[in-house]
Amino acid sequence: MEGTSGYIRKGDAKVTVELTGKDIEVIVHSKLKQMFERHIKQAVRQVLHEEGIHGAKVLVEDEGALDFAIRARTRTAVRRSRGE
Amino acid sequence: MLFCPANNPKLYYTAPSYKPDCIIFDLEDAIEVNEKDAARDLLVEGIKTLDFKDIEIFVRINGVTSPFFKADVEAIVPAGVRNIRLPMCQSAEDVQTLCRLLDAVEEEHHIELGSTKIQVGIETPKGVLGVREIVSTCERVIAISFGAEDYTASLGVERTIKGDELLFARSMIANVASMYDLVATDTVWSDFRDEEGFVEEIRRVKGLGFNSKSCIHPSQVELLHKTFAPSKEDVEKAQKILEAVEQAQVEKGGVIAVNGKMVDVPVITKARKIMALRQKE
Repeated sequence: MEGTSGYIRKGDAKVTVELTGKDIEVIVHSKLKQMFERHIKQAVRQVLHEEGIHGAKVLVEDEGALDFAIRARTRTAVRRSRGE
Repeated sequence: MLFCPANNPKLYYTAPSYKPDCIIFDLEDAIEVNEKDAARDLLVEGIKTLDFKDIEIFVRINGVTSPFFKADVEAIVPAGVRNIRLPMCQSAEDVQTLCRLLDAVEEEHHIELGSTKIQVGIETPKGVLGVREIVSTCERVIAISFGAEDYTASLGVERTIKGDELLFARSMIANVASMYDLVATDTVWSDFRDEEGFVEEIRRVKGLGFNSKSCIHPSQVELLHKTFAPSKEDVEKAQKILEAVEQAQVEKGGVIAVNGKMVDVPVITKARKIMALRQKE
Protein backbone atom coordinates (compact mmCIF):
# COMPACT_ATOMS: atom_id res chain seq x y z
CA MET A 1 0.00 0.00 0.00
CA GLU A 2 1.17 3.52 -0.77
CA GLY A 3 0.98 6.70 1.26
CA THR A 4 1.84 10.25 0.23
CA SER A 5 2.28 13.48 2.17
CA GLY A 6 3.48 17.01 1.46
CA TYR A 7 3.42 19.32 -1.50
CA ILE A 8 5.74 20.32 -4.29
CA ARG A 9 6.17 23.94 -3.19
CA LYS A 10 8.99 26.05 -1.79
CA GLY A 11 10.20 24.80 1.56
CA ASP A 12 8.23 21.56 1.37
CA ALA A 13 8.66 18.04 0.06
CA LYS A 14 6.26 15.48 -1.33
CA VAL A 15 7.08 12.07 0.11
CA THR A 16 5.60 8.85 -1.19
CA VAL A 17 6.09 5.62 0.74
CA GLU A 18 5.33 2.18 -0.66
CA LEU A 19 5.67 -0.60 1.87
CA THR A 20 7.52 -3.61 0.45
CA GLY A 21 8.86 -6.79 1.93
CA LYS A 22 12.35 -6.00 0.74
CA ASP A 23 15.02 -3.49 1.77
CA ILE A 24 14.81 0.27 2.16
CA GLU A 25 15.19 2.17 -1.10
CA VAL A 26 15.10 5.98 -1.06
CA ILE A 27 15.00 8.01 -4.27
CA VAL A 28 15.51 11.76 -4.07
CA HIS A 29 14.51 14.32 -6.69
CA SER A 30 15.84 17.74 -5.75
CA LYS A 31 17.51 20.74 -7.37
CA LEU A 32 19.92 20.55 -4.45
CA LYS A 33 20.38 16.82 -4.74
CA GLN A 34 24.13 16.98 -4.98
CA MET A 35 24.41 18.84 -1.68
CA PHE A 36 21.57 17.34 0.30
CA GLU A 37 20.75 13.88 -1.04
CA ARG A 38 22.66 12.08 1.70
CA HIS A 39 21.10 14.28 4.37
CA ILE A 40 17.58 13.75 3.05
CA LYS A 41 18.06 10.00 2.84
CA GLN A 42 19.36 9.97 6.42
CA ALA A 43 16.29 11.84 7.67
CA VAL A 44 13.97 9.45 5.83
CA ARG A 45 15.77 6.34 7.09
CA GLN A 46 15.67 7.65 10.66
CA VAL A 47 11.89 7.97 10.53
CA LEU A 48 11.49 4.55 8.91
CA HIS A 49 13.56 3.08 11.70
CA GLU A 50 11.47 4.86 14.36
CA GLU A 51 8.31 3.55 12.74
CA GLY A 52 9.67 0.01 12.62
CA ILE A 53 9.72 -0.16 8.81
CA HIS A 54 12.26 -2.57 7.30
CA GLY A 55 11.07 -2.72 3.72
CA ALA A 56 9.93 0.30 1.75
CA LYS A 57 10.43 2.28 -1.43
CA VAL A 58 10.41 6.00 -0.73
CA LEU A 59 10.30 8.81 -3.28
CA VAL A 60 11.18 12.29 -2.03
CA GLU A 61 10.37 15.21 -4.32
CA ASP A 62 12.14 17.96 -2.49
CA GLU A 63 11.74 21.71 -2.91
CA GLY A 64 14.22 22.87 -0.27
CA ALA A 65 12.54 21.34 2.75
CA LEU A 66 14.38 21.44 6.06
CA ASP A 67 15.00 18.27 8.06
CA PHE A 68 11.94 18.65 10.24
CA ALA A 69 9.69 18.83 7.19
CA ILE A 70 11.31 15.79 5.54
CA ARG A 71 10.84 13.82 8.74
CA ALA A 72 7.25 14.94 9.21
CA ARG A 73 6.23 14.22 5.63
CA THR A 74 7.88 10.80 5.79
CA ARG A 75 6.10 9.95 9.02
CA THR A 76 2.71 10.97 7.68
CA ALA A 77 3.31 9.05 4.43
CA VAL A 78 4.25 5.92 6.42
CA ARG A 79 1.09 6.17 8.51
CA ARG A 80 -1.04 6.71 5.44
CA SER A 81 0.58 3.73 3.73
CA ARG A 82 -0.49 1.67 6.71
CA GLY A 83 -4.01 3.00 6.43
CA GLU A 84 -3.80 4.88 9.75
CA MET B 1 -0.42 36.66 17.97
CA LEU B 2 0.50 35.78 14.39
CA PHE B 3 -1.56 32.99 12.90
CA CYS B 4 0.28 30.36 10.83
CA PRO B 5 -1.40 27.35 9.23
CA ALA B 6 0.46 24.41 10.74
CA ASN B 7 0.79 22.55 7.44
CA ASN B 8 3.20 24.92 5.67
CA PRO B 9 6.84 24.22 6.61
CA LYS B 10 8.13 27.52 5.22
CA LEU B 11 6.08 29.55 7.69
CA TYR B 12 7.78 27.89 10.66
CA TYR B 13 11.02 29.70 9.89
CA THR B 14 9.75 32.85 8.16
CA ALA B 15 7.14 33.84 10.76
CA PRO B 16 9.70 34.48 13.54
CA SER B 17 11.51 37.03 11.37
CA TYR B 18 8.53 39.40 11.81
CA LYS B 19 9.08 39.37 15.59
CA PRO B 20 5.56 38.65 16.80
CA ASP B 21 5.13 38.22 20.55
CA CYS B 22 3.40 34.90 19.85
CA ILE B 23 2.95 32.56 16.91
CA ILE B 24 -0.23 30.53 16.91
CA PHE B 25 0.02 27.44 14.74
CA ASP B 26 -3.41 26.48 13.51
CA LEU B 27 -4.56 22.86 13.35
CA GLU B 28 -8.21 23.88 13.10
CA ASP B 29 -9.86 26.08 10.50
CA ALA B 30 -6.76 26.58 8.32
CA ILE B 31 -6.32 22.84 7.75
CA GLU B 32 -8.48 20.65 5.49
CA VAL B 33 -9.92 17.56 7.07
CA ASN B 34 -7.76 15.16 5.04
CA GLU B 35 -4.61 17.04 6.04
CA LYS B 36 -5.14 17.16 9.81
CA ASP B 37 -2.69 14.29 10.37
CA ALA B 38 -0.01 15.88 8.19
CA ALA B 39 -0.34 19.25 9.91
CA ARG B 40 -0.08 17.62 13.32
CA ASP B 41 3.02 15.61 12.33
CA LEU B 42 4.68 18.71 10.90
CA LEU B 43 3.92 20.71 14.03
CA VAL B 44 5.36 18.00 16.28
CA GLU B 45 8.60 17.85 14.30
CA GLY B 46 8.82 21.62 14.09
CA ILE B 47 8.32 22.15 17.82
CA LYS B 48 10.87 19.47 18.68
CA THR B 49 13.48 20.83 16.29
CA LEU B 50 13.22 24.59 15.97
CA ASP B 51 14.22 27.21 18.51
CA PHE B 52 11.71 30.06 18.58
CA LYS B 53 13.72 31.96 21.19
CA ASP B 54 11.49 34.45 23.07
CA ILE B 55 8.47 34.01 20.84
CA GLU B 56 5.68 32.23 22.69
CA ILE B 57 4.18 29.35 20.77
CA PHE B 58 0.46 28.65 20.89
CA VAL B 59 -1.45 25.97 19.02
CA ARG B 60 -5.10 26.21 18.08
CA ILE B 61 -6.23 22.62 18.34
CA ASN B 62 -9.45 21.21 17.02
CA GLY B 63 -12.46 21.65 19.31
CA VAL B 64 -13.55 19.22 22.02
CA THR B 65 -16.31 17.78 19.83
CA SER B 66 -13.96 17.21 16.91
CA PRO B 67 -12.61 13.71 16.11
CA PHE B 68 -9.11 15.25 16.03
CA PHE B 69 -9.18 16.82 19.50
CA LYS B 70 -7.62 13.99 21.50
CA ALA B 71 -4.96 13.16 18.89
CA ASP B 72 -3.94 16.82 18.72
CA VAL B 73 -3.36 17.13 22.46
CA GLU B 74 -1.69 13.72 22.80
CA ALA B 75 0.78 14.61 20.04
CA ILE B 76 1.64 18.24 20.68
CA VAL B 77 2.03 18.36 24.45
CA PRO B 78 4.75 15.67 24.64
CA ALA B 79 6.47 17.46 21.74
CA GLY B 80 6.77 20.59 23.87
CA VAL B 81 3.71 22.74 23.26
CA ARG B 82 2.73 24.53 26.47
CA ASN B 83 0.04 26.94 25.27
CA ILE B 84 -3.19 25.72 23.69
CA ARG B 85 -6.04 27.74 22.26
CA LEU B 86 -9.28 25.86 22.66
CA PRO B 87 -11.69 27.09 20.00
CA MET B 88 -15.46 27.43 20.34
CA CYS B 89 -15.60 27.30 24.14
CA GLN B 90 -19.22 27.43 25.14
CA SER B 91 -19.23 26.02 28.64
CA ALA B 92 -17.07 25.24 31.62
CA GLU B 93 -17.40 21.59 30.66
CA ASP B 94 -15.51 22.24 27.41
CA VAL B 95 -12.53 23.52 29.36
CA GLN B 96 -12.81 20.76 31.94
CA THR B 97 -12.63 18.18 29.14
CA LEU B 98 -9.36 19.67 27.94
CA CYS B 99 -8.04 20.03 31.49
CA ARG B 100 -8.68 16.36 32.25
CA LEU B 101 -6.91 15.29 29.07
CA LEU B 102 -3.97 17.56 29.84
CA ASP B 103 -3.72 16.13 33.36
CA ALA B 104 -3.51 12.63 31.91
CA VAL B 105 -1.02 13.49 29.16
CA GLU B 106 1.26 15.46 31.47
CA GLU B 107 1.28 12.64 34.01
CA GLU B 108 1.97 9.98 31.38
CA HIS B 109 4.89 11.91 29.94
CA HIS B 110 6.31 13.19 33.24
CA ILE B 111 5.61 16.79 32.33
CA GLU B 112 5.13 19.25 35.18
CA LEU B 113 1.45 19.08 36.09
CA GLY B 114 -0.39 22.23 35.18
CA SER B 115 2.37 23.57 32.97
CA THR B 116 0.29 23.47 29.78
CA LYS B 117 -1.84 26.59 29.69
CA ILE B 118 -5.12 27.33 27.96
CA GLN B 119 -6.38 30.28 25.99
CA VAL B 120 -10.15 29.90 25.71
CA GLY B 121 -11.65 30.86 22.37
CA ILE B 122 -14.98 32.64 22.79
CA GLU B 123 -16.80 32.65 19.46
CA THR B 124 -20.53 32.43 20.17
CA PRO B 125 -23.16 34.30 22.18
CA LYS B 126 -23.37 31.31 24.52
CA GLY B 127 -19.63 31.51 25.04
CA VAL B 128 -19.78 35.24 25.70
CA LEU B 129 -22.54 34.91 28.27
CA GLY B 130 -20.78 32.02 29.99
CA VAL B 131 -17.24 33.40 29.80
CA ARG B 132 -16.93 33.98 33.53
CA GLU B 133 -17.74 30.36 34.36
CA ILE B 134 -15.56 29.18 31.48
CA VAL B 135 -12.40 30.94 32.60
CA SER B 136 -12.82 30.28 36.32
CA THR B 137 -13.23 26.52 36.03
CA CYS B 138 -9.55 25.68 35.60
CA GLU B 139 -6.30 27.28 36.74
CA ARG B 140 -4.68 26.52 33.42
CA VAL B 141 -6.67 29.31 31.74
CA ILE B 142 -4.40 32.31 31.13
CA ALA B 143 -6.12 34.14 28.32
CA ILE B 144 -9.34 34.72 26.43
CA SER B 145 -9.48 35.18 22.68
CA PHE B 146 -12.47 36.56 20.85
CA GLY B 147 -13.53 35.21 17.46
CA ALA B 148 -15.83 37.65 15.67
CA GLU B 149 -16.55 35.70 12.49
CA ASP B 150 -18.28 32.77 14.19
CA TYR B 151 -19.83 35.12 16.75
CA THR B 152 -21.54 37.30 14.14
CA ALA B 153 -22.56 34.24 12.17
CA SER B 154 -24.25 32.86 15.30
CA LEU B 155 -26.01 36.17 15.90
CA GLY B 156 -27.06 36.36 12.29
CA VAL B 157 -25.55 39.78 11.76
CA GLU B 158 -22.97 41.22 9.42
CA ARG B 159 -19.56 42.30 10.61
CA THR B 160 -19.09 46.02 10.12
CA ILE B 161 -16.00 48.19 10.12
CA LYS B 162 -17.24 50.17 13.11
CA GLY B 163 -17.94 46.98 15.06
CA ASP B 164 -21.02 48.03 17.05
CA GLU B 165 -22.29 44.46 16.78
CA LEU B 166 -19.20 43.29 18.69
CA LEU B 167 -19.29 45.81 21.52
CA PHE B 168 -21.18 43.72 24.04
CA ALA B 169 -19.01 40.64 23.48
CA ARG B 170 -15.78 42.63 23.58
CA SER B 171 -16.79 44.46 26.75
CA MET B 172 -17.79 41.24 28.46
CA ILE B 173 -14.51 39.55 27.55
CA ALA B 174 -12.35 42.51 28.52
CA ASN B 175 -14.05 42.85 31.90
CA VAL B 176 -13.84 39.16 32.74
CA ALA B 177 -10.20 39.08 31.63
CA SER B 178 -9.44 42.00 33.92
CA MET B 179 -11.33 40.40 36.81
CA TYR B 180 -9.30 37.21 36.57
CA ASP B 181 -6.04 38.86 35.47
CA LEU B 182 -6.04 37.18 32.08
CA VAL B 183 -4.82 38.35 28.70
CA ALA B 184 -7.65 39.52 26.44
CA THR B 185 -6.94 38.84 22.76
CA ASP B 186 -9.13 40.46 20.15
CA THR B 187 -10.26 38.92 16.88
CA VAL B 188 -8.42 39.12 13.58
CA TRP B 189 -8.73 41.99 11.13
CA SER B 190 -9.14 40.13 7.84
CA ASP B 191 -8.48 42.92 5.36
CA PHE B 192 -4.74 43.16 5.87
CA ARG B 193 -4.43 45.74 3.07
CA ASP B 194 -6.59 48.19 5.03
CA GLU B 195 -3.95 49.36 7.51
CA GLU B 196 -5.89 52.44 8.55
CA GLY B 197 -8.92 50.37 9.49
CA PHE B 198 -6.68 47.93 11.37
CA VAL B 199 -5.05 50.68 13.44
CA GLU B 200 -8.44 52.21 14.18
CA GLU B 201 -9.74 48.86 15.41
CA ILE B 202 -6.67 48.35 17.61
CA ARG B 203 -7.26 51.74 19.25
CA ARG B 204 -10.91 50.88 19.76
CA VAL B 205 -10.30 47.54 21.46
CA LYS B 206 -7.37 48.88 23.46
CA GLY B 207 -9.78 51.44 24.83
CA LEU B 208 -12.11 48.64 25.88
CA GLY B 209 -9.39 46.84 27.80
CA PHE B 210 -7.91 44.38 25.31
CA ASN B 211 -4.15 43.95 25.51
CA SER B 212 -3.54 41.58 22.62
CA LYS B 213 -4.80 40.90 19.11
CA SER B 214 -4.57 38.07 16.61
CA CYS B 215 -2.96 38.83 13.24
CA ILE B 216 -3.35 36.98 9.99
CA HIS B 217 -0.57 38.69 8.04
CA PRO B 218 3.02 39.61 8.97
CA SER B 219 2.45 43.22 7.90
CA GLN B 220 0.09 43.62 10.85
CA VAL B 221 2.65 42.77 13.52
CA GLU B 222 4.62 46.01 13.51
CA LEU B 223 1.45 48.12 13.35
CA LEU B 224 0.06 46.22 16.29
CA HIS B 225 3.18 46.74 18.38
CA LYS B 226 3.25 50.48 17.65
CA THR B 227 -0.44 51.02 18.37
CA PHE B 228 -0.61 48.93 21.53
CA ALA B 229 2.58 50.41 22.95
CA PRO B 230 2.09 53.13 25.58
CA SER B 231 2.71 56.65 24.27
CA LYS B 232 5.79 58.63 25.26
CA GLU B 233 3.57 60.91 27.33
CA ASP B 234 1.98 57.98 29.16
CA VAL B 235 5.43 56.56 29.98
CA GLU B 236 6.75 59.89 31.28
CA LYS B 237 3.65 60.37 33.41
CA ALA B 238 3.94 56.83 34.80
CA GLN B 239 7.60 57.35 35.65
CA LYS B 240 6.82 60.54 37.58
CA ILE B 241 4.06 58.80 39.51
CA LEU B 242 6.26 55.87 40.49
CA GLU B 243 9.10 58.18 41.53
CA ALA B 244 6.66 60.07 43.78
CA VAL B 245 5.30 56.82 45.19
CA GLU B 246 8.77 55.77 46.32
CA GLN B 247 8.78 58.74 48.66
CA ALA B 248 5.30 58.13 50.08
CA GLN B 249 3.31 55.23 51.43
CA VAL B 250 0.38 55.21 49.05
CA GLU B 251 0.07 51.38 49.03
CA LYS B 252 -1.16 51.61 52.60
CA GLY B 253 -4.13 53.66 51.52
CA GLY B 254 -2.71 57.11 51.35
CA VAL B 255 -3.05 59.63 48.55
CA ILE B 256 -0.40 61.88 47.10
CA ALA B 257 -0.39 64.60 44.50
CA VAL B 258 1.69 64.58 41.33
CA ASN B 259 1.62 67.72 39.22
CA GLY B 260 -1.38 68.89 41.20
CA LYS B 261 -3.42 65.76 40.50
CA MET B 262 -4.56 63.13 42.99
CA VAL B 263 -2.70 59.84 42.77
CA ASP B 264 -4.05 56.87 44.67
CA VAL B 265 -3.64 53.08 44.44
CA PRO B 266 -5.58 52.51 41.18
CA VAL B 267 -3.54 55.20 39.42
CA ILE B 268 -0.33 53.66 40.70
CA THR B 269 -1.39 50.21 39.51
CA LYS B 270 -2.04 51.62 36.06
CA ALA B 271 1.38 53.34 36.07
CA ARG B 272 3.09 50.04 36.93
CA LYS B 273 1.27 48.28 34.09
CA ILE B 274 2.42 50.96 31.66
CA MET B 275 6.04 50.59 32.76
CA ALA B 276 5.79 46.79 32.53
CA LEU B 277 4.50 47.11 28.97
CA ARG B 278 7.28 49.55 28.15
CA GLN B 279 9.91 47.15 29.45
CA LYS B 280 8.58 44.36 27.22
CA GLU B 281 9.41 46.33 24.05
